[in-house]
Amino acid sequence: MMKKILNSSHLQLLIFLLIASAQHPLLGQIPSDYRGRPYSDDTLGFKGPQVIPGRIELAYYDFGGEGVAYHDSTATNDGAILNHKCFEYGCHWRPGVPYHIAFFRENEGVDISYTKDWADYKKPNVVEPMVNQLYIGWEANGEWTNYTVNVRSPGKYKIITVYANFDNNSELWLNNKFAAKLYLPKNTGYYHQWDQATIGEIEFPAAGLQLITLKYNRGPNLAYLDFVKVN
Amino acid sequence: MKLNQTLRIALIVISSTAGINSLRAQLPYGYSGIPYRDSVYMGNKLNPFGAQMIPGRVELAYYDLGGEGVAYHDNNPINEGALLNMKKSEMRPGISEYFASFRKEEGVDINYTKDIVDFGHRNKVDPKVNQLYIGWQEEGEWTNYTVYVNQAGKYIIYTVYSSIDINPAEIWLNNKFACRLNFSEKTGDLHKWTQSEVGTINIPKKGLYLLTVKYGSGINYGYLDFLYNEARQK
Repeated sequence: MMKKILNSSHLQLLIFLLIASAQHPLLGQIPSDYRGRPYSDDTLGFKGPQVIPGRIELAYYDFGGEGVAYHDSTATNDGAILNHKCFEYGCHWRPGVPYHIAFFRENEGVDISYTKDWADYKKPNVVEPMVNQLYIGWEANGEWTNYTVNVRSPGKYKIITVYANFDNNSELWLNNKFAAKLYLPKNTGYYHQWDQATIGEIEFPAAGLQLITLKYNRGPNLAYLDFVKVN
Repeated sequence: MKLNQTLRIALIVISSTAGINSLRAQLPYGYSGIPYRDSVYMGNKLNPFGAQMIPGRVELAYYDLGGEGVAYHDNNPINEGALLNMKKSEMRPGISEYFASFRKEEGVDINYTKDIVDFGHRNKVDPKVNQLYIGWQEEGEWTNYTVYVNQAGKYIIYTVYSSIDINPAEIWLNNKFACRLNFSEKTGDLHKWTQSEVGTINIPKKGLYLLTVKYGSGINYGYLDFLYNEARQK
């Protein structure tokens, strides 16, 4: 009976489909055992995956939780915790900032905050970050975040970012293989003094969905990575 | 009991729509534009109107839906940016039609930052990759934005821009002049970018506003960042 249902032409078709799906640009390159999925956010009107060429917002790391979509050395979102606090100089939840931004993904371990008037714009920056820009801070050695991205055009890209503080030997891995070193050229001197720089180059051999891992260490506040095609 | 419940529900409905209406009432009477949305940009759902929010970034390419004379005025009906970008020679690798011909049916001239043209040289400050911006600006042109102001007060306005001229622009709130936008630096090329504080604005109340940008000529810029700054409230 089984033989009758699964005759050789069916088997051929099945094998063909398996090979075709493995080579399909949209399916083939993400490591097969990866269980994370692209971040989406109805409240912000954002639908993943993020696209290259374009901006990868670091706070939009994948869904999937600790050990899958990110690794953080503490289970708490230290940015959200601080943003709930008030001190003599004021509250970290700034006037007019929506809850969703001030306590972004507050139940996950990645430490996220946003740019604030009295911290990030107190003195002019070399380059001003976006108002209410979400960024990853409280970085510790050995932490990482994963991003399912859609690369629309293969080739070489330069990477531009805004950052504060100092270099931390971070790396980008592509589909679980080392792909690029990032280098923040300047010590801005402070967690809330921002600058902009081209911080690396990366080669994407193929188009389609890819898994980018940002591996980072103690040091800066990092907000996004802009991928610009190099011709 | 049943009547009471019905009354209660009716009251809740009336009071909640009245709440929304009183916020809407701040908009000029008769304004028929509505906040922009499309299949990719679904609007900002942090407020009930889907409007862009202050404090925060107002993307200029997301001017209201409503067309010429209502949501914008452009001196000609062609979107010069889309027209240019749909030419084969102008197409950039990996850029979707969405960016290349954004709102191509309308008159506002929109372009996006491109690998060679905008990033092939050193900028003082790099713009965002694929940043939609309004170019081909001429005196007398304007775009409208229904914005939701979440905090009354004084705001500093920043932007990234490129300029061959530095004619000031203006912001009007609910059809009244509110502030000038001064671009201090001539970058000398419409694809060489820089950043600066371009103005300060006082927004007296929380709620919906009609924000109009009235353009000068010779400048490209994509957004206005509104920063509420407690230190400057006095």
